Amino acid sequence: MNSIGNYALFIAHGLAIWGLVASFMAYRSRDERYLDSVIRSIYGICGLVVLAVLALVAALLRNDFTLKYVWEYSRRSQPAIYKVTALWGGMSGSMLFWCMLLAVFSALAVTFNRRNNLRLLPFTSFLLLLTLGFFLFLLNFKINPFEPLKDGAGQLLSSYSPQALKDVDGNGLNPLLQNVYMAIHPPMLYLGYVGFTIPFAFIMGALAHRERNTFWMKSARNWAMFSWLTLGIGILLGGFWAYIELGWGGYWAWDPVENASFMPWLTGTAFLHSFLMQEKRGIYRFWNVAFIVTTFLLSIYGTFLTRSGILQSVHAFGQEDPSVPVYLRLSTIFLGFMALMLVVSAVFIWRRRALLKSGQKLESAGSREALFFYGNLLMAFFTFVVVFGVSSPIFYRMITHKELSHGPEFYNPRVLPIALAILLVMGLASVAPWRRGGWESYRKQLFLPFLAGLSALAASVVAFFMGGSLSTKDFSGRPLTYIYLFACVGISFFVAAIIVEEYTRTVRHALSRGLTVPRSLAAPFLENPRRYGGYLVHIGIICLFLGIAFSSTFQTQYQESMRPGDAVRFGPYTVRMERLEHDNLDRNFSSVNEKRIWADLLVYRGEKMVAYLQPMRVFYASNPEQPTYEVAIHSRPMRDFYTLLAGYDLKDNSAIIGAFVNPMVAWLWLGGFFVLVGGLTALVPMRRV
Amino acid sequence: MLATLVSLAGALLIFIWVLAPMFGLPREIVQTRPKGEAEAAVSKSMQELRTDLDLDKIHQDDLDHIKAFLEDESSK
Repeated sequence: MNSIGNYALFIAHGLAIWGLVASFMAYRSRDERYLDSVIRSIYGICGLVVLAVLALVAALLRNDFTLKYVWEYSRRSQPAIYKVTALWGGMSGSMLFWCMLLAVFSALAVTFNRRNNLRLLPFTSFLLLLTLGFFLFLLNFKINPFEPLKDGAGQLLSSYSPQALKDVDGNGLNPLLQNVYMAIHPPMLYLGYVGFTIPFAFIMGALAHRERNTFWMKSARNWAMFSWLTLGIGILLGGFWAYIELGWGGYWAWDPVENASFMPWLTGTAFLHSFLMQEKRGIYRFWNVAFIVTTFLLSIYGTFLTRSGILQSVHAFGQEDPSVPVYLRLSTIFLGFMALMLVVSAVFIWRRRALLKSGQKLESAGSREALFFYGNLLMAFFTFVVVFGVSSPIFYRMITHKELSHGPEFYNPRVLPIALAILLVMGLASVAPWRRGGWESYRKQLFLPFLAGLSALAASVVAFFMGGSLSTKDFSGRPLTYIYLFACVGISFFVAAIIVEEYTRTVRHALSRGLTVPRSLAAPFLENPRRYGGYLVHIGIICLFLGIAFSSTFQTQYQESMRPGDAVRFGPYTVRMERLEHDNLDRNFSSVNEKRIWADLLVYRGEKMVAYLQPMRVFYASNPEQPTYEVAIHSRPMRDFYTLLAGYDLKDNSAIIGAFVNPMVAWLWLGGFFVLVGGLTALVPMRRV
Repeated sequence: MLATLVSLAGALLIFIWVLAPMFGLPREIVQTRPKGEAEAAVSKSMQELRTDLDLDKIHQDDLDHIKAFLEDESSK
């Protein structure tokens, strides 16, 4: 089975090479025979890479430690779910998974576009095969997941007797990755990263083939929407995982690997909005090509950052061997591929620059078209700050051989004003009229939302200063933080009111057409799913802004040493420790995957018991020296009470209990829910009610 | 050994299948579209904009201008 996986990758690479030649010939000669062969190559690669993935999963499930990858990332006592997720727990396995997703997406893309966009397929397929070929090259010659394992004497384990193999056990998956959200988070991210390859290939294909009609745009837009959605949900799941698994009470730390996924999401967001303008008005063609090329390259850059070993992060798992010459290193190969794709894109953008000129003019600086442009400029600035923050430490280290890292103190002052400006433009662009601006156009539609925003701003200022949550001393300590917070509240309510008002007017209009109340309520989503799905996404973004603003401004942290029977006050909560318990810690790790120590806590709000929490530390077989945190959270819409077992002394029967009171963190996950529902709604075909 | 033979045979079959179209006669890539598809695409785009007309976010002459543009693009 292992050798079948190996051969499958090798043959797939051969098909990718042939497919590249044939797609180039199809592009030059316009001969459909070549294109048919290209499409068959893509189907063949898809089948073979899926076969290779199945072979590796089978090896993981069968504890086949003759493979180095299985030995490194799995062990006999590991639960079956984490044996499967070990597929993306290591570098070569995750690359194989990446490659499989791209092969499946490529096969689906050529199938669905064979009828409507046949003309674009030669060059589109060329770019898809170039990307596939690159990853297949890595898998065959650089990071082969089917590499056999040798023992200390250099003997292959595959030559061991079955009895001797039974005594072999693997290292096991990183304990931090043995979490159900970590089982979902990476595939969601990969769906997004990989998915952006398809709209990139289509847009470049349209450019290369001088396609002037708009039929291909629907396909490119849907793929981009799907990729944006899965990447966004993947980022949020990653935040949720960090929140419950790392035990630091936060969900986002501007870690370079977090940023790596955030960068293509930002440019993808900009692309989706300006692409809409290209569809309707034929404008921003150059911007769209620039945004999708950037998004694709940032997706590859994110993969490179995580896996090349160039970064040290909780998420990064690539290790570069210093004995390997620079030109053979994974980081060099990745950079070479990115440079190649950049050159190919730049050449076609230059050669087809006449096609990228808009036939239409921007008539007014206050029009909807103009506001979309301002939003995109802000997104571009935001992306630039993040790219600079991630990349500058790498260049700094290369030049000075000294370490540099950027955290919240670098990012927050730079991105917060940009983010608030984006939020404001998001609202204004919803009411802006097409083609023309002017005060009169806005006055009628913005009056009520402006009142709502102003009232919320005033109420929040009064509530914080008069209600005791904030004193003037706190304010003068970090005034900018509170100014941003109040601005965030005001703008959020302003934008939310715009959306609610527009929805209400649309429903009222549907009622005036004689539709029933339920049908009128659903009509906006059915007749205009992209617009109103987009508004649901915007509501989700508002929830995210409010959740981030409040939780990061008003988080409070506590830590106390406790024994069973002790009761300690943590902010508005009183915690009573009942017991300090543990599994049998003397058991051998050959029979269990984990051993736990936990505290039983009763949480009171006043006299009323509100929660029973069990924060724990878990020792995993794969790394028993570093127990992971399993936090326990009492979550409510306005406040999370977050507890962790920060320390313990089993002989003394005492524990150090850490706690955070985190306001409005639940709004982040609620925001994620709206983004998901809105994104899915936007993908639904429109109907006439 | 068996796995190697099976893989070699599989590879041969796959390459024969992939290369098979090359043995036919040359034919040009021609894009055909069902009748009415262009009109349907314009109609869908206009459905979104008509919501804006109902909400006073577009003037009738601007709507006509955009419709003319969409029809022109779809006919290319």
